[in-house]
Amino acid sequence: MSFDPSSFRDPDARVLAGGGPDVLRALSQDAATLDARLRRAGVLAELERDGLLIASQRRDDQLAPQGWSAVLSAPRLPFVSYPYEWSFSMLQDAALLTLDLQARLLSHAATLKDASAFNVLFDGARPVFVDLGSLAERAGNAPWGAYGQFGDHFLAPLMLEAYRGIPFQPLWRGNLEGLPVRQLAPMLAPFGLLRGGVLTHVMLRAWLERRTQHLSVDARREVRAAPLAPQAVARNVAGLRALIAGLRSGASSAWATYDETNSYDPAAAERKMAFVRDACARLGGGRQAWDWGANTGRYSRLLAEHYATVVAMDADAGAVDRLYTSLRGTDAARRILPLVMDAMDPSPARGWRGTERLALAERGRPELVLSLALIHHLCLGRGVPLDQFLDFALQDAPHAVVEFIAAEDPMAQALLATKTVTHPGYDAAAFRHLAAQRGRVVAEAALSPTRQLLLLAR
Amino acid sequence: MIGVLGVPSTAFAYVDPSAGSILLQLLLGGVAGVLVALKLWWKRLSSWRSRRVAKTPPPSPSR
Repeated sequence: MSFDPSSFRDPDARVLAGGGPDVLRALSQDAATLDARLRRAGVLAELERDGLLIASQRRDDQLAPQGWSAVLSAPRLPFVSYPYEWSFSMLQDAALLTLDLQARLLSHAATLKDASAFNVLFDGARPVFVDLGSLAERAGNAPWGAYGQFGDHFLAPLMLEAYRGIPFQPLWRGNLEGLPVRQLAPMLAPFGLLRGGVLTHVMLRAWLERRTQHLSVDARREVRAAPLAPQAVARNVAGLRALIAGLRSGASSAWATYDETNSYDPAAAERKMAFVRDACARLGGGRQAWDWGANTGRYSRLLAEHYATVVAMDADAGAVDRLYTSLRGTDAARRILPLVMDAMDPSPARGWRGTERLALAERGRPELVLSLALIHHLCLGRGVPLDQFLDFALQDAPHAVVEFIAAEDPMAQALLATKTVTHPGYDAAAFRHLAAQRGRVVAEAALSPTRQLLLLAR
Repeated sequence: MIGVLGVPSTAFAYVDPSAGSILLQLLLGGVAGVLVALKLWWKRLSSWRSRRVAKTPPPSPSR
């Protein structure tokens, strides 16, 4: 029996390798004892009911690996996503979920021993706390050991975007420990000093960390053993919750209002919808579809009527955030997972030995990929050759719906206005020819003199 | 003294909580927490001062 390569940090719980419908975790003796206590007291059931923790079961039918005491199972979510792929509101909701869970655990003499953002996944557009191994017994009057990590993984990235308008995703992607608070401090000074929580959670913490980094081993032990009453820990958690709930993204978005401001003729938009709807019906739907350049999700919602999981990706974090918040409380939230993803630079494999966090293509096998109104951005805007765009459209799925947008189209012209390069070979005939070389054209439609749609089979 | 007041914690497990982030929690934790942090601070500070006063030469590095 082997372990999942991304699960090695926690000595008390490890995810077992395998791709079945359930995720299996091995628990140490300590973790198994806590699990049994919380299960017996009905705490886990209550947390599951309130959406604070993924549903789980003890699996006594599974033999625990040597040296481990018990096996837990939890349903495998359809798609794994990472904090650097989330929009502001997604990271914020994951932070609030973590704090709400921590508050509840504190009242049951338990705690979260880590506050990694990777503990949370999204099931559609709903955050789910999946790392059952993060639960631990709360030792007496201990402060929250994971407070520092919470600051780096959640609070600092959110503050950076809220207070400085700087999107957090590139920084998060650059450091798998999030944005260390001590790095945020100089970014917020001096004008950010008066914003909520900055003086304490950022400046004071950065100063204390500087002052204590050369403490002796004895002094460190003494600090670790310093008592803090449970009520004070709970107050800190409540204070963090109020602070985070009040943050709003200060980043600007070029595309979040595209849906209202684009120059698309309504009849052409309706023909496009009908084409995608027909394509879904013809293919009979399925388990998973990807929508590249999803913007605010118009076509993702259509896909969600036919596919169990729709990964709606866009490079513009503002557009993704808008889609995410618009899904709250809707039925489609169960199926649509919005992600910040640039087709020019999809998430690579990351972390220890390059296997800890998976590259995008390793995380799902879509049956249909949509690339609508994307081609001019990639080919005209970023210089991707036409043949490579088609290879990209067909690389992950057996079927793809692709839209060709000619250089004369008003949206393409807007992109080209400041460019002097020409694009020989970028035309509808070449597109049709290259597409037919790569697959079978199952259906096609002209939306306008400058736009055409193809349904391709690999 | 702090050793007497404090209960050793096992909940920190494998995430390394920096001393700074623990001290901050104590400070945010209200009067009792501030007192604990001050005591720690004072103890550190006074031992540092007494070392300075004793003027013991630091051991030379053996590298």
